[in-house]
Amino acid sequence: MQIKVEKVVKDYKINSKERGLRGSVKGLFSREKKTIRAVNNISFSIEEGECVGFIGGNGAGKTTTIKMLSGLIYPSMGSIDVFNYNPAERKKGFKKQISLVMGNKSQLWWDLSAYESFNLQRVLYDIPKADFKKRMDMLTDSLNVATLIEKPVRNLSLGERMKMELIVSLLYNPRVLFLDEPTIGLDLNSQKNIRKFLHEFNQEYNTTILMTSHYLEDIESVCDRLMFIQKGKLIHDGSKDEIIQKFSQDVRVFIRYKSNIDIKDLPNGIKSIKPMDDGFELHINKEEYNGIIRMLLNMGDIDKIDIGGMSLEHVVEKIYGGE
Amino acid sequence: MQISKYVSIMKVSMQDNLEYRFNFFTTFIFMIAPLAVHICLWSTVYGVGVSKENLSNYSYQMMLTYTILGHCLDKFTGDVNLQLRVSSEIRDGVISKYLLLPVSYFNTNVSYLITNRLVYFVTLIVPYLAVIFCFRSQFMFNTEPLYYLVFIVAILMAIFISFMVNHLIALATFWLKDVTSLYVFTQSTFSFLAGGYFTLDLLPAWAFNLLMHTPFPYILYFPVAIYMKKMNPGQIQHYGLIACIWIVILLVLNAIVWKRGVKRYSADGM
Amino acid sequence: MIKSIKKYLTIYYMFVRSCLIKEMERRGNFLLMSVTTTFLNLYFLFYYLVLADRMSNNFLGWSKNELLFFLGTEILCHSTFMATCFYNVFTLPDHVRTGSFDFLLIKPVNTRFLLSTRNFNFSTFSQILFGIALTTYSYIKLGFKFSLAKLLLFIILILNSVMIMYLIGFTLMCLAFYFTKISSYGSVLPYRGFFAIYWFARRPENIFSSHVIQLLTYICPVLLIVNLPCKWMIRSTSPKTIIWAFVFSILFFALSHILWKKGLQKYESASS
Repeated sequence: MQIKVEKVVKDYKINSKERGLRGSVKGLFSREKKTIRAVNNISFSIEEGECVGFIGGNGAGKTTTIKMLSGLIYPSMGSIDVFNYNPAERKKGFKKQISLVMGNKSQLWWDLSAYESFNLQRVLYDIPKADFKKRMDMLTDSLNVATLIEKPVRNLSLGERMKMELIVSLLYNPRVLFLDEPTIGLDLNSQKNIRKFLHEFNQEYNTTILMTSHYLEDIESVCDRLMFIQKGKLIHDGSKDEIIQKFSQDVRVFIRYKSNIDIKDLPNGIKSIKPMDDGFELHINKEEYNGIIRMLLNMGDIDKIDIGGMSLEHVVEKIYGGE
Repeated sequence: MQISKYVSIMKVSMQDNLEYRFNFFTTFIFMIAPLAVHICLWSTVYGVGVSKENLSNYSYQMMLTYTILGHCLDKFTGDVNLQLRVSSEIRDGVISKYLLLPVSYFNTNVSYLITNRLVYFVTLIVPYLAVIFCFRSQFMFNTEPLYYLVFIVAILMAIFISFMVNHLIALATFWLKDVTSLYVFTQSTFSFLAGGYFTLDLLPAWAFNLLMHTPFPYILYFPVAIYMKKMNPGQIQHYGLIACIWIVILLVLNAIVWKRGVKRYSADGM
Repeated sequence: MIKSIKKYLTIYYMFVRSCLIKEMERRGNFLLMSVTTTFLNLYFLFYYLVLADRMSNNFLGWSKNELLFFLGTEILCHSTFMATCFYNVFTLPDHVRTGSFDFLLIKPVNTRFLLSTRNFNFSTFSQILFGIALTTYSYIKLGFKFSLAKLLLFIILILNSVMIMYLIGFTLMCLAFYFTKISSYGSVLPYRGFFAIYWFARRPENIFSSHVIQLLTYICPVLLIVNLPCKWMIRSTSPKTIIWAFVFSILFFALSHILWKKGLQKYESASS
């Protein structure tokens, strides 16, 4: 069973108006319509149980794609198949198998306890009472919020609220979980907890996870497959390791000398040098590596040296820098 | 107070106002409903043969003139959106910027008011005239230029008083959580007291006199009564003075309440 | 089928219950709203009594007590509407603006149902008591005898009126789909439109000429809302009009559903 997206395009029409007062007066009578292509010919397929991350800047088309997958908007061209359903038809059977969590929007009742929202969900999704209790206990334990479910949602912190959002969307055991910027605005600890939870949840229950995020740590710790979207196009699609491999013919070296070494003194042939507050960050071509490292080691007493492959962050910078 | 600052604000708010063109057109349409109902009412009442004496010496023409002019003016002097806008600006913390910028919130709202009313006037003058034209046989046209002058001054005072009253009520957002019910209540009450439901001449004399010492009739009844030559120059002067006193009082009240409100706002960190 | 009905009733019950809990926490507001709505009703009363006074206690053929009964009926319709529908019928633009509409769409339960029943307001519910008191008082004063059948049809007609008011508001609100530029105060448009229409409904029909009465009963049938139940109890109505009231509701419901579906399509082809 899988999710299949084929040659999907999404166009929007917006009113454009000229700037300034004159433009506003003109705009009273006639407005030009501009078409914007938010999603440009995207195709991919996802197997059940996969954990996929969408990375892209603002307005790249990530949220639009997720909305199309969950049936909230329909594509202008192309087809989408989620577990043999067409999301745009929004059939009951389809809705019961998917779940959507949006980072800056809440579906919980603000003035009541989280438990009330869970209970409502139970009725809405026809969850049998026994299953409901079992699942609720399991989820609240995993996320360490069992003592908080009776508190009014407005009194919870942002991190706690997000955890409740996750619980309410997993109560009915959906096959796929769509997440749109789930850790946005959260403190570091909450982010970590949620990432850990999502990763473990996926491993144990084989729930497919599709996540968009700005935070690379989200994608890194939860997802094993990455899709890079820019200006509505899918520019890279592959597993984490594949992508890092593809882009990391370079070795990343961070070096700090005990004495003050000037940037001019560094050996030639280094691909890129980035002076940092406390040292230099160098990208060295794999072939040149051995020679240059020897030269670096001879230049003086080293306070700190850190050698590694490219991190995901660098890959992303590179990918977006290159376009 | 730098005028150029406020001119820029006016320019921007003019654009803002023009965005909501639909808003203006629909305001007019929604004005028609109560107007139509009241015209039907009076047509039937006079048609049935109720005499002038019973209705405070208002002939059918006078009543109709009052109704039409009253409705036109009601929508023109009162900005329904003001309170909602001020409320949301306080609640969303937008006013913070006014505490930092060298621009006063009240004056900004006055600039916004001027542009808003100008746009309203330009947009709605034609429909208003059309309505009056439909009833031209019954409508009492005033032909004396002096009265028109006083009429316009009274309208300007009405706009300003209405603005200050609504602004003052809107400042309650600093203290109350739910202001929408307050607005509904005050808007209906003030409309009632201003003569928006029926001409204040229908009230018993004691009620009328009491009411004329409040600011409300100056929002609607006073300008219309001037136009209809219901008052002699002596009365106009007398009531005009009361209106001016109220303008001063409302200015002071607005300033005081604003200061108190901002104190609370900063203390609470809303 | 039964299971489905049971499910929807349970959901409705949960909504009502949570609204009650929420309102009990804000008792001050509850009181404030009850008081202010009472005042608003009294203005109308005052208005008509003043006019009736001026016209030798006979407002176009309606005696003072008949006017009181009319007002009571109006309060019953209005407050039932406010309690059950008002806070739902005009919330669509807010849902769309804040994005919570997406959550309503994604649930495996009829979205229109969720939207229309989510809020139940208890503070305006208190007005229903006021309306009952007013109608009972004036009914007795008018010398009518109690009749269960008459009362039942009265209640059914009032519920029908509330349905018509809901449909008017809902249809206007569907316009929100077509005007994507919904600002924080642009969403008052459907609200104002509703009250513009309701202005015609909340008057005793005698203020209109006979032609207009025909128009407002059969073509744009706003007089079916308050005047019909009122006339049923204290004056006379033709069975034709009563049947038309129910037929109209059904037709209007069908129309509103088509608009709703079309509006959803528009929403799905756009986004925030």
